[in-house]
Amino acid sequence: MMTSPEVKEYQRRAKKKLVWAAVFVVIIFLLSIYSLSVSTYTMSFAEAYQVLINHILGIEPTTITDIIRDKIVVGLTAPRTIAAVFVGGVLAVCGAVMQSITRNPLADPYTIGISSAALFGTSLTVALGISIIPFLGHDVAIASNAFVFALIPALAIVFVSSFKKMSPNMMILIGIGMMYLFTAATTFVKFNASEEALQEIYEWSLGTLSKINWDSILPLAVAFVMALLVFMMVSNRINVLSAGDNMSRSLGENPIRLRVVCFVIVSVTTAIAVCYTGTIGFVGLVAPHIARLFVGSDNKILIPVSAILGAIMISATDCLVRLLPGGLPCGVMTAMIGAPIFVFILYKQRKKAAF
Amino acid sequence: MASSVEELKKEYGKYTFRKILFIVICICLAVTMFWLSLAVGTRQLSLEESLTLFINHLMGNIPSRDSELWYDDNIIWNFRVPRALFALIAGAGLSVAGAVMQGVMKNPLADPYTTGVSSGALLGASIAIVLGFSLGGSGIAGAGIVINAIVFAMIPVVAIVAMGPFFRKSPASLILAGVAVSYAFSSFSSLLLVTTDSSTLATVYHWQVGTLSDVSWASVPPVLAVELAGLAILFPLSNKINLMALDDKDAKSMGLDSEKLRMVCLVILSVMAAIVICYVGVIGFVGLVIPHIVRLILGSDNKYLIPASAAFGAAFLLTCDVISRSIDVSSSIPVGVVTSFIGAPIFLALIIREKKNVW
Repeated sequence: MMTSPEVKEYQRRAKKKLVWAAVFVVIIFLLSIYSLSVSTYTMSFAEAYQVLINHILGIEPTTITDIIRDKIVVGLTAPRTIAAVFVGGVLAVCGAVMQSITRNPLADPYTIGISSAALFGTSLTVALGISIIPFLGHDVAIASNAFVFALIPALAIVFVSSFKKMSPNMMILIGIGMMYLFTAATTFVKFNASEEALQEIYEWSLGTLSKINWDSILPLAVAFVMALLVFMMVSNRINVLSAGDNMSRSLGENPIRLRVVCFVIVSVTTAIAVCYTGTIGFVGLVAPHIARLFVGSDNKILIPVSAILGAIMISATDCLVRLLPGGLPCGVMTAMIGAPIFVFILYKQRKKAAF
Repeated sequence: MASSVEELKKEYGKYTFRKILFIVICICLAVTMFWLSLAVGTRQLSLEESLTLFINHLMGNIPSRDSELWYDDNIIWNFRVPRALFALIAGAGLSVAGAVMQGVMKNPLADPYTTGVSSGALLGASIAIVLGFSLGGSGIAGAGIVINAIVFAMIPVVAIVAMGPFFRKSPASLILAGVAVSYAFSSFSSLLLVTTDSSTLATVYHWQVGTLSDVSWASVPPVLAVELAGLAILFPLSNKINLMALDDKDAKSMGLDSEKLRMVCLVILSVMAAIVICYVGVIGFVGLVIPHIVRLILGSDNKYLIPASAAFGAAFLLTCDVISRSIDVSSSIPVGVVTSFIGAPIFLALIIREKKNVW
């Protein structure tokens, strides 16, 4: 059977996109393996790899060096490597979805106020010692507070949209209103806080992977799988949404319901990521845009490629953070390195309309 | 036929009357608040006292140094009047800048800081506070911060204009370029702030929230000049900005070069925002939300939106300042917090009540 040139062209483009996706997968794979060996303790990555294999196979380390290496790889670099992939993936997927469902290139996972609500929860614990769930340790209290508060803006949007038809921009505006309320409340809390508490809150707001341990991996994995699976499943419907609300209604899609459901899933998964790492910015906004420049705006491929790119961004910067002295928060590094690259890509791809 | 034209005219008259009424009410509110703000503060004066002192000073009847009134006159004339004037000017300037930015960028999330002005200014201020380095030489500490803030605030704008020829000047590209630049700048300030001790961090933080408590006469003229110039340029452009709500191509067919106008507006708005924040820090909320509130009340026609935003923004910021001073006389609650606390609920209520979607 003859295939028409249009079909061939489509296949060629689809293949190109898949090639890009494959390239990014290879990059994240290599980066993760390399990341295992990165810490202030020098170790070649063959050694790190060996240590990990031994640990999995249950071979007890015998020499002092082996015990130290085992502690570093298993206790420090391995969980951080895995968490970096999950956190980056969650943020980027949520960012891509938010941009598509609101049809706004400025949207990111935090647009509906998640970050400032979570920051308010954190400040309550750090500055005033208040925690939603009583009798928890400091770090756990911060995480649980951040998580619970991060869900409030989404609940508000669900509540309002239950009795009112809203355009995506009006939903965003509600998010902005909530964001300012929480930011103001946070400022109030911070005003009488000690300087040490201020510093802790500040570092939390920048986002860091340094508090990750094995206990955080399972929730992060759940968040990642949930975000990726659910949004991949509805990616076709999200595509329809980008044609405009009226058009999607005529195609049999309920745009408002789909949007609200997406908001809720974005909130839950982002809240899980945020409560372990703080509010890492930039990735959720920019990773989807970079993905868009490579593979276009079709959510079927945009969502997975965004996930990989987000994972690459966080893994790469976390490696750098671990190498550099001073324990910088990951969030600072991401923007510092990512911003110039992003401007360069914007410049390179200026002919293609990404939005 | 004639009667329907009459009806239409009447309808249109009602339509404009409502908008003009809103603007007039806002101006009245601003004047009342100005009067009130003279009386409120650590030294409580009665409304009549403050008004007499103010008018006497305007007339040139300055109380002599040894009289009892000299002290009160000094408080009113050297602290409260410049502060109130600054609040009015800053409120009007930021609101208009926000309204126009949202119009030319076609994005409800845009605000006067979209081009990265605020993160530039923050970096400048952080450098001055943390490293003690200022471009204005070894001046007074306060002046160093101001000069640094304004110079650094302009860098992102210059960068975007310089990159202009190499980009599509669509709203999305410009916004994304601005976002990238501002992320880069804020990451540098974060780098400075993370490595510094906690008391310096607190100083920078207080600068960042935005407070009117350090305003003096010296800061009024430059801000007044810039904002007036900005408003004078933007008011006549309001019809063109209305056209920009169309697709760029459609606007072009109506004889408007959207890309050029967008760049021009961008520069004007950034300068307007930069001059305000370099004196009082990053006052958020006003520039983003006031235009939305006005839009919810009056609709999106820029001919009325721009002046109404100016009037409402001025009245709003001054009201918030008066409230922050009357709650806490030592004025340690920054005005940036009060604006959000009062404005956000109003904003949310308006959104929920509003039947039609203005965006």
